[in-house]
Amino acid sequence: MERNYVIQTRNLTKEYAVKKKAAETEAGAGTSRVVNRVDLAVPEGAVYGFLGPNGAGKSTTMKMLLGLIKPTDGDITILGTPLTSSGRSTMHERDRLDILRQTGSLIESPSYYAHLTGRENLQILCRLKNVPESEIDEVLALVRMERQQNKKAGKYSLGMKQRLGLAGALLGSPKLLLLDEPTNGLDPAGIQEMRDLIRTLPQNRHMTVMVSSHLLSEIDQMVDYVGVINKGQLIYQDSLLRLHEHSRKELCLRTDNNNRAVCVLQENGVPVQIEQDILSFPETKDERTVFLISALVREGVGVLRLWERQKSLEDIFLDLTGKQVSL
Amino acid sequence: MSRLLPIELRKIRRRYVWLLFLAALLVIFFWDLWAILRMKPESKWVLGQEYEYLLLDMALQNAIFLPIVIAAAASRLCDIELKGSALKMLCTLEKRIDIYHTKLVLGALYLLAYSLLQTAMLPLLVRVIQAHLQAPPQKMPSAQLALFFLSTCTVSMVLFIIQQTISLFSVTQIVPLFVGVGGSLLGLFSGFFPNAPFRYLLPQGYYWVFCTVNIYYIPETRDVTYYPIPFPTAVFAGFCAFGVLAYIIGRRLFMGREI
Repeated sequence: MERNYVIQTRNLTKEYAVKKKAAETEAGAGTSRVVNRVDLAVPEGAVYGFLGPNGAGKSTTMKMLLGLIKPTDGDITILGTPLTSSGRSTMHERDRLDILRQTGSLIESPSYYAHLTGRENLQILCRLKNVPESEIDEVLALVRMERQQNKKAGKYSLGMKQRLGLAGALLGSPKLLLLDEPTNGLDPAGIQEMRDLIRTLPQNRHMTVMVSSHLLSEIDQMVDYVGVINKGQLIYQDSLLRLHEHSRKELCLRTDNNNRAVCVLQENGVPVQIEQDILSFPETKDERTVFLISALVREGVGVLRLWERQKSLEDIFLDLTGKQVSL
Repeated sequence: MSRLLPIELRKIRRRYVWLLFLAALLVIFFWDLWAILRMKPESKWVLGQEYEYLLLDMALQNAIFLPIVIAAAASRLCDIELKGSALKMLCTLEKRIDIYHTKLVLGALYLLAYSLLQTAMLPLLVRVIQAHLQAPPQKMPSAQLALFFLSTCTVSMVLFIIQQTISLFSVTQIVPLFVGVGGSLLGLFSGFFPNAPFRYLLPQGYYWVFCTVNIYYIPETRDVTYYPIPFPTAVFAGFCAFGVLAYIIGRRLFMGREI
């Protein structure tokens, strides 16, 4: 059965003009391509993690989805409605806003009016979104801000501002929630609360959530699907389960004759890889392992060491991005 | 946009933008009142030309205060969107053009109220002069008052358009306030050179340009004579065209801005 996608992009690209000396990139001299032909597919009812190192293009992509930045090229479809085609708007701005009104967002830093109280901020948002003010108490309770609601937002800590931003994004129960690094500035307890809240949104409030982070551990704990972006390119996109499959165990082997050992293993149908004098192949049943080792010994290959290794998500991320992941 | 105006009014709660205009009005009122009460009974030069005296006086006072007040007002209306990155959220919920226009309309309402109150202040102060100097009533020059109202509104609105655009692009709001203070000083300065062409270069100086009264001073007798001058209609049309251009540029810049 074909899945419904709440966000779909095709060849989404953003280029900025830069001084000619500064960059001669793939995009050509004088331009810097910060998002490069990204094809996002965010399934309905999922928590989609948008993972990438700082400066990878996460915020720019999310801003393009929200129409805050004009794409240089590519198509954007949100909630089944095409918003842009080949970088150009396909609809009247009023219709585009009708789609975006079904979307809550928290991009880069929380949006608030510093001179107004938390509650007054939400009242403004209620009016902008055409939502009854009775929803305010509900979202304040969700983000645990009931006690601070009458304090001026400018006096809030960054964590409180994030909570206020999230409360605002949740007003009107949008079908889609775009959260850019929502745990920034939160204390460990707050981070846990935020994760728990995000994780439950699809089930409890029928929302699809796209959440960006540069923290793999964070994404690992709250998402169903993951997209990995690096240097503007989407290098991985699939379910988190599939990503975990990449981290399956493998067996490592050191022998006194690696070339012969590779031949023997391949003759027995084992996909083997050599990396710095170490042979590695997917984990097999114990009986099969015994059989393979016996075969090697029979062929005169001396087995020096055999051990089990598991590739961590961090290793996979490093393989994908070539950057050390923050934990 | 009509939906956004009440929301905008809620947003500017505790920003006291109205207080800026009220303060300017009060300063002008008490300044003029002080000047009137200092007039001695022998200050006969003012008799029969009370309106002209006040029209010129208020053009001067507007050139001093309004560029600063307008810069501060535009800044207070715009920086609420920039301080807490609210513009980002606003642009996903409302049309950019409506956001720009709502602020402009709100500024226009303040300026309209200011210009009306200031124009209404004129006959009141004329009565004070007449009571103080026991002078006979002077016929109200309705056409001159209407032109004073029109020119104050127009020049202020053009300044507001410019200041709003600068404020929407300035995170610290130092630049727009500097433009306001600098404009006030230069605008005032330009007024003392009525025949110099550079007075037409600065929009802040147009409070003087559109004043329908000029002054003739005889140093020997210390007599001051005010005389009406025709309203520069062609210059006014040119200034309005400049205002429209400033609006188009400001709107285009805001619409194309990446947030």
